[in-house]
Amino acid sequence: MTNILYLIADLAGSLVAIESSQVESIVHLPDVVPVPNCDPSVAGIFALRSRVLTLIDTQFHITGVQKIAPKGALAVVTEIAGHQYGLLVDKVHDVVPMTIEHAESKIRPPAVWNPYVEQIATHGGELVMILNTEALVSGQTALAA
Amino acid sequence: MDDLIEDFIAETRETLEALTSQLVEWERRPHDRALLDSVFRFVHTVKGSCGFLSLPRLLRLSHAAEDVLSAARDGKVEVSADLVTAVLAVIDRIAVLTEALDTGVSVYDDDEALTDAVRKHLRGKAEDLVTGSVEETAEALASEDSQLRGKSRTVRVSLNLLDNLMSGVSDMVLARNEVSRQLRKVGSNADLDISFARLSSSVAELRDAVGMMRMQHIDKLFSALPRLVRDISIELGKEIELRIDGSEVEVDREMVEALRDPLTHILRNAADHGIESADERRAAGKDPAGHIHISARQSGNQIVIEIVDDGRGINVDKLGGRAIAANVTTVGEWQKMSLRSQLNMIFTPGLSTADSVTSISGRGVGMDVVRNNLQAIGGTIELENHEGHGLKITLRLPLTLSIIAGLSVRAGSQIFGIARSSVVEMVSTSNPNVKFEELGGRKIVNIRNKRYPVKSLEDILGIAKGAHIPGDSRTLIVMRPAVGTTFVLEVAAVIDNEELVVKPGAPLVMGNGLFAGTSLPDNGRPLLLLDASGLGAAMGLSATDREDREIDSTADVESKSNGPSALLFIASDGRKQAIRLSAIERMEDIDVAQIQYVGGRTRVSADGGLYDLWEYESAPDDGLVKVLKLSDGDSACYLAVGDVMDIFSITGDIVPSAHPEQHEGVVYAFGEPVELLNMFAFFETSDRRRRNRGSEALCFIDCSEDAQWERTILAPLLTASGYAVSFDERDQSHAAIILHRDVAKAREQANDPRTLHLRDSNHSLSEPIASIYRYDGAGLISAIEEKLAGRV
Repeated sequence: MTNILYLIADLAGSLVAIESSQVESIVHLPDVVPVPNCDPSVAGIFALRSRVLTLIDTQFHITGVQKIAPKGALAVVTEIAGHQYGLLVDKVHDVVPMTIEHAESKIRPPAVWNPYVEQIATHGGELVMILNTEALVSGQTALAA
Repeated sequence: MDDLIEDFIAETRETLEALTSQLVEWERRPHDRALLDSVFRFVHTVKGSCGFLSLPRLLRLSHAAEDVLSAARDGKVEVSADLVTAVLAVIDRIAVLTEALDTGVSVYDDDEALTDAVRKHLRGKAEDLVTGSVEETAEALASEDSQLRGKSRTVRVSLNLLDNLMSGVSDMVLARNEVSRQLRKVGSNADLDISFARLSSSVAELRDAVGMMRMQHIDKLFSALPRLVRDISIELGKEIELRIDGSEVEVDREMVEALRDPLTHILRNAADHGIESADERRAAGKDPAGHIHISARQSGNQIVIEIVDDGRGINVDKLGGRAIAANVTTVGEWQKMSLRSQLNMIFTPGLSTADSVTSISGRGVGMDVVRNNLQAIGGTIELENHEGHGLKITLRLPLTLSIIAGLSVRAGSQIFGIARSSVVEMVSTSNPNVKFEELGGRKIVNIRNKRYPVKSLEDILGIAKGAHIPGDSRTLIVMRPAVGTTFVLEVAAVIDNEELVVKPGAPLVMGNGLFAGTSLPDNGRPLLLLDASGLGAAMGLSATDREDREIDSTADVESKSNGPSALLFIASDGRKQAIRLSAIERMEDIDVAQIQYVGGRTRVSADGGLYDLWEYESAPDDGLVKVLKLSDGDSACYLAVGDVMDIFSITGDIVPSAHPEQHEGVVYAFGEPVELLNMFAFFETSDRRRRNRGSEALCFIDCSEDAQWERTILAPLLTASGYAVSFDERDQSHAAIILHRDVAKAREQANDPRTLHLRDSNHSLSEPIASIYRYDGAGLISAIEEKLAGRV
C-alpha cells in the first residue's frame, strides 16, 4: 500500500492520473507549430520560455482521431528520456494522494487503453487510470502492440 | 597537460576534504570495512592519475598505501593502529604534495621513510621507531599545510547547473527581444533607450561569457589518446609514435563528448590496419616505428582535425574486391567510379579491408559509424589516400554545436529553418535563367544551364500550398547536403537570415528523418530545422554522392565560361546597381542601433567587431537596414542597399565608366545597362593599420627618457599608421627606421640609410642636412614608406 501524490485529469472523457513527481508544470498552450509528415500522435511543437517542447495529442492514442489543440488548451509538461513533452489533457482537477489497491487489478479498461495504463486506483469512490507517460511518447508502435 | 594537473589538484583536494572526517573515523574504528574501502578508493584514484600525469613521488606514496590497504581488504594484514597511522601519514603527505603542485613550493623528500613505514606492515613487523618519526613528520607537515595551501582558481560546477544557467540566459535574451519590440511600439524615450541599451549590452556580455563556459580545450579529448595508442601498440607488438598538435584549440563541451568515439575509432584503425609491422616497414624502407600525427586547428568557423599516419594507406583494389564481393557495387560500376568515390566506399557499412578481425578493429563497423557520428554533429570527413605511404583523414566540424547560421523559409503557411551551410544559391522562379523541365514525371529545373531535380517543400512535407496568387514568384534554393546529390528546393519565400540556436528534437519528431532539430528564434515561435540530406532522401534521390562530384566539376567549367556572376540590387539612392557576387559574404538586416558615426565614418558594430558601412543614407521606419556584407578575404565591410533583386552572369564586355573609382564599368543585366560597383574603394580606405601589420616595420625613436613630444605625439602617429615603435636602444640595431630630433646626432648618423631627421621649424634653412618638419605627418609617413621601399 503506497500513498503517492497524483495529478487527476480528464482525458478522452475518462478520469486519469499522472504521478506528480513526473509533472513539471501545467501550462496553457501558446501557439502550437504543427510538425508535418510526422507520427500522428504529435500535435506539434510549442515554446515554453526558451525551451521547445513536443506536444502529444494524448487523446489520439485512445480515440484514433487527431484533434487540433486550440490556443490556451491545457498540457501537462513532463520530461521523458531527456526530452520535454507537453501532454494534452481536457481538464485538470487536482493533485491528491491516492492509495493504489492491487486488488483492483482484475478490473481493466478497454484494450485501447491497455498500453498506457499502469494501474487502477480509486479516488473519492471513482476509478482512476494511472497513466504510463513513457508509453504515450513512444509513438504509434504502442498503439499497434 | 597543465589543465589536467589543475583538474587533478582540484579533484584530489575535493576528495581529501570529503575524506577528512572519514579518516578520523577510520582511526577510531580501523576495522570498519566501508571506511577502509573509501580510503582505498582514494589512494587508488590518486595512483591512477599520478601514473598518467607522471608525478613519481605521488605515485610511489599512493602505490605503497594501496598495496597495504589492498592486503588489509583481503584480510592478509591486520589493521592495527600503527598501520592506520602510517597510512594517514602517507595521505597527509599526498595532500601536502598536491598543494605544493599548485603553489610550486618544494617539499622535503623523505617519502621513503613513509612508504617504508607502510610497507613494513606487509611484512608483518611494524617498527615503533619508524612510525614514531613518521608521526612527528606528519604533524610538522600538517602545521605547514595551512601555509602551503594555495588559492583555488577553479570551481567544479555540475553540468546541470551550467545547463540551467545557459537556458536562463537564453530566456533572458528572448525577454530582452520582447521588451525591445514593446519599446519600439511605445515610441522613443531617450532615458529609457539608454537604460535599455545598457541592459542589452550586459545581457549580450553575459551570453558571451556563458558561451565561453561551454568551451573546453580539445586537450580534454586528446589527453586520453597517448594511453590508447600505447595500449594498442603493446597489444599488437608495433612501435607507434604519436604526436599531438593544437591541444589548445577550444571546442564546445558537447563536441568533446561527441568526438570521443569517432576519434578513438580512427586512431584504432590507423594503429591496427594503417601501420604495418616493424618488419614490413623495414622492407618498405620506412622507419620501423610507425608515426601518427594528430593536429587540431580553428579555421574560420570550423574546427579542423587531421589524423595522419605513415602506414600502408587504403588498398583501393582490395576495397573494390570486397565491395563487389559484398554486392555493394558491380565490377562495371566500380571501374567507372572516380578514385574519390572508390575511396569513399570505405564508409559503406560492413566493409573492411582488414584480412583478419582483431580485438581492436576490422569488424567493418568502423568508418560508417564514424561518418554517421560526425554528420550528427554537422561535421564532415575527408580521406586523402597515399597507397603504401599513409592515410590522411580530415575532420571538419562546426565551431559550436548549438548555433548555426540559418535561413528561415516559408512553405504553405509555416516557417522552417535551413542551415546556410547546405545552401548553394537562391533564385526566384521568375528569373529568366530558370526553366522547368520534366523527366519521366520527375520535375527538373534548369538554372543557368545546370539541371537539378526539384520539388516543393510543401509536397515533401505534405502540407497545403496555400492560395497561389498568379504572377507571384516563388524561390528556388539550390541545396548541397553533406551527403547525397545536389537538388533544388522550392519554397514560397525566404524570410530571413539569422543565427539559430539548435535544440534537439524529441525522437518522435526526428523520426521521419526530415528534421535536424528545433529552434526558437527571437519572435518566440518555435521553428523546425530541415535536414538537407533527409529532404534529398525524401525526394527519392540516392544518398551516395558517387557521380555528383564529377558533375559538379564539369558544371563549374561551364559556369566559368558563362562569365562571373553579379548581384543586381537597388542602391540606397533608388537606382539599380550591380556588384560582383564573389565579394558578397552574405546579406543581412541590421538594426539601426548597430550603426554609429564614429571615427569620421559610418560604422556597424556586429559580431564583436566594427566594420565600415557604405552608402548609408537614412534610417528606415522599421529600424532595419538591408546590407550586404562584403569581404576581400581579410577584412570585411558593409554596403547598405535598398533591396536585392537577382543574380545574373556578366556576359559580354564591360563598358568603361566615366568614374572608374566608383564603377568598374557598365554591364548588361536582364537587358538593361547597370553600373557595376567598384569595390576597390571600400577596402582601399578600410583600415590602413590592418594592411600594414604584416610588414612589422620597427621604428626606433632615438630620444631622451623624458622626451614628451616623441612619446605622446610621434609614437601614436606611427602606431596608428601600422608601424611598431620602440624607445629601447637595444632595438636600434634591427630597427627598419630610426627617427630623431637631435642635430648633433644627425651628423653622426648621416651615413645610416635608415635615419630620418625631424626638425622643429617649418623652414629647412637652418638645418645642415635633409630633414622633415615634425608636424608634417603625411610627409613623415611617406618618407618612411620611401625608405622602406628603398631598403627592400
